[in-house]
Amino acid sequence: MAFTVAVAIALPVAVVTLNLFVPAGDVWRHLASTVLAGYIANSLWIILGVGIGVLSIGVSMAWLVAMCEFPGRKIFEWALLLPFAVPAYVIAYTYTGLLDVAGPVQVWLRDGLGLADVGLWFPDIRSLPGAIVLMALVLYPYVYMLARTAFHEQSFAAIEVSRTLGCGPWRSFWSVSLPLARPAIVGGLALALMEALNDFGTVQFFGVDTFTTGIYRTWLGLGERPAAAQLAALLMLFIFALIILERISRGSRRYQHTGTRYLVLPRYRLTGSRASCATLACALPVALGFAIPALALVIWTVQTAGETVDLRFLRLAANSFLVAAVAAVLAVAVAGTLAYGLRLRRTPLMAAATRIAGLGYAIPGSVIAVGVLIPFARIDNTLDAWARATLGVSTGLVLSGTLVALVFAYLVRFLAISLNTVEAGFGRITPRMDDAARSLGQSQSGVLVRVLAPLMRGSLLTAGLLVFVDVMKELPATLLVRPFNFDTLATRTYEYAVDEQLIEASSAALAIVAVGIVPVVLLSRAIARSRAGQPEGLNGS
Amino acid sequence: MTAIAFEHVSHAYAELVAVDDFGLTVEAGEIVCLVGPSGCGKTTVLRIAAGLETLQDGRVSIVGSVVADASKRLDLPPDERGLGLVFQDYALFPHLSVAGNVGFGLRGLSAAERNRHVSALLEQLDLGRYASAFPHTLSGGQQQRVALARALAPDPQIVLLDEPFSGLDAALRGQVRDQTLHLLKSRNAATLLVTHDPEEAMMLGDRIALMRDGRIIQIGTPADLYLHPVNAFAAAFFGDVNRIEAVVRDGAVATPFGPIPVARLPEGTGVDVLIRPEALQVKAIGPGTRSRHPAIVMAARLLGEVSIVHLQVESGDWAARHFHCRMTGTFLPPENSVVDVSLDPSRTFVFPATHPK
Repeated sequence: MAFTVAVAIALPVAVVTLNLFVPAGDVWRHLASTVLAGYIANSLWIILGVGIGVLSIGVSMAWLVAMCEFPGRKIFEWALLLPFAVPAYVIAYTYTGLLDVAGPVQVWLRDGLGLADVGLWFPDIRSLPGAIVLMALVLYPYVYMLARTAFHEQSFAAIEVSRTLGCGPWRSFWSVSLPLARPAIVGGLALALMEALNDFGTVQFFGVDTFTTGIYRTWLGLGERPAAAQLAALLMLFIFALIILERISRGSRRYQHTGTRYLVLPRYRLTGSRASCATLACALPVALGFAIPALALVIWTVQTAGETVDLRFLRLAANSFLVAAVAAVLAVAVAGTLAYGLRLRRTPLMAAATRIAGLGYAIPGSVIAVGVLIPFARIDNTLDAWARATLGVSTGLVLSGTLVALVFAYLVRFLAISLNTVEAGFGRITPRMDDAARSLGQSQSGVLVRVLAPLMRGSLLTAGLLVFVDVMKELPATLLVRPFNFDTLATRTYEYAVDEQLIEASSAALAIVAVGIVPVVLLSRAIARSRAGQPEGLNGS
Repeated sequence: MTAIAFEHVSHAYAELVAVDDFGLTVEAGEIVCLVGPSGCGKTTVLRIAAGLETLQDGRVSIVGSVVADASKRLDLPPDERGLGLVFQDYALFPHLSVAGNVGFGLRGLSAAERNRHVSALLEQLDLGRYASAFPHTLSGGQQQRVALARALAPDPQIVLLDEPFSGLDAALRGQVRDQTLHLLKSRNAATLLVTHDPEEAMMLGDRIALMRDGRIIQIGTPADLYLHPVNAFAAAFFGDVNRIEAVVRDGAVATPFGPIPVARLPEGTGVDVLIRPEALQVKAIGPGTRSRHPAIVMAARLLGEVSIVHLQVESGDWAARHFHCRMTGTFLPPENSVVDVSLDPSRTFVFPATHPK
């Protein structure tokens, strides 16, 4: 049972990967000779630029809040996570609305300061550098979060020793803290870059051609499905490289602990101008990545609420809520089935199938969309042919272009989140609990219902919530897989933006950001708990 | 009536053979202790009995009916075996109260009947006051008793206990052990208890099965194992021994305290001689008095009801060795005094030398 589920979830990834080996067709050769070089170059620029951006912001902010004491540190500790709540496409639309020719900034420069030639020298946000800066602003929290935990958990002794050996704070950072935290930082970097490659809304809107826009255009615009699948397969190569990078960093993270005792490090107390600089440095990413776009969205929503917040808007919200809730419940149920299957019998085959099923999170939504639609179309065609041959009726599309396909795509993409959370929940319960319940007359499913589920209510809830929020934000898979005329908050935001109605897009975008704050709250609660004197993830009980 | 029987049971984890052709029967009302060093396979035997490990080879029957038979691919799941099981870490359900834990395995009863049953059992174990408490608020000894009550509540015919007292500190352990013994005896269930502590096994077991490398080396009453060990390992496991190496000459082996006749071993066999400390009886002698087996007192200590005397013999092959002797009562000869030692052959064991591996 669990194995079948794992295989079904792993199917889209397998379908796309197999396309690497399909012989190239004419369209593919055309793509390869015209646009492919541009896709690769842009993707590499994004990897390089976003990588540098998230590293410099994430590591420096993490070091400041973990190692130094300055006014507002405790607030910034969690506030620096807030940009997590803003999807890249939302921040792209918002800053375009703020900074383009008709936006408030240029208008103020032109009319307020009388600079008539502002349009000539003002940088164009809708460009590759603009996309890189904006993505870095919302993706740095991945690096920040993991690096902060790593700095936090570093052995007191290692730092102390380096100080007694004559290293100043600066040198002990470069020679001790940073090397010790490197696996965590690389892990965060890999996650941020996966998200950057997943992005569709930003690059599409800014006219920067990458694999995701290429897949979308080839699939929907040109209707060339095999070529789109091969683009998806090529993008997977980038992703596999990042997955390997992340796995390697995770493997070496085990050796990170240099001391067994966990102590709260005494922080460097900053005073005077250095303290103000630290406060300002932390305030900058929070303001640029969250506060300014959120404020703009609130103002625009208030301005346009009369026209945009209507019955149609409620239907969008209801649609988003419906698919997100269904996907969340299914993701928790599937994760529970897989994780319990592993707990009962950890065979190498089962473990491998579960790992592959959990890969979805690394893989861009557009790739997963392709991987879901190809087998579903095959099933529909087979079913239709069979029905026509034997019953004389056409069944049409049973799976493709339905909510079933959409929810399945979400499940494939976000199962990893629920799987990790549920597996961690199981891991905290000793297998003796299962044995005790079995010996007292409970069947396997009885153990799950009467003992394990009540013990991990919190983990299950968290898992469902995280999937719910990610589904609300997800754009490219929704655009490709959704049924005809089925709109969600994310697709409506996108459609407004494509029509250059950035102000009108604000109400839907604001709703997405508001929901996105939920996981930030969960993360900040984990941080608050860890502050009580124990490393994150270890609950006292 | 045989409550549980193992026949030719073998079990391996990957390459490691944990249980090797194991056979044992436990009668109703009997307590059998499985004892042995860590890694000897005793816990695996318990898990196979409970159905928590899939049987790989052999047969297990409970009250006359086969519950697992590897040759017939029969293996009843744990919930259909009706065994009571107490774990080393107790494994109490943290989301249920004490009463909820104890009542967990009771089914097919009305709520009132179940409550009555649970509170009677809790009273019997001095836990009545804690019925609505949650496990984490209880002390280790109380948690242990809740675990025992939970296993006994469905009235199983067989109770399995895996190192049930190892989590308790020494002072509490004796008391809880005693209480457990009386409770198990009063219920007439067959009990299989796993422990690594020989003293615990001797205190609780009607019979003891000594295991090593997945096999039973010796099985019998505690007195059998202590007084008639089958080999040097068994002798050393159940009590201190003074161990010396010797060779059979003229139907006897020489020791510093006189020869021991050995009829069964051929001339020239290398042997291990194991002398229990209480086999050495020491008499104080005045200066200048002749003694057949003199020894010098290196130290003497009182350990409550017995005294331990450390001895060194003056001459011969054993001059560098020192021996422990256990005397009942207070017997503390001064250091460096000379004493006369006599040997009780019934507490001395001779085995052919085992070659060091």
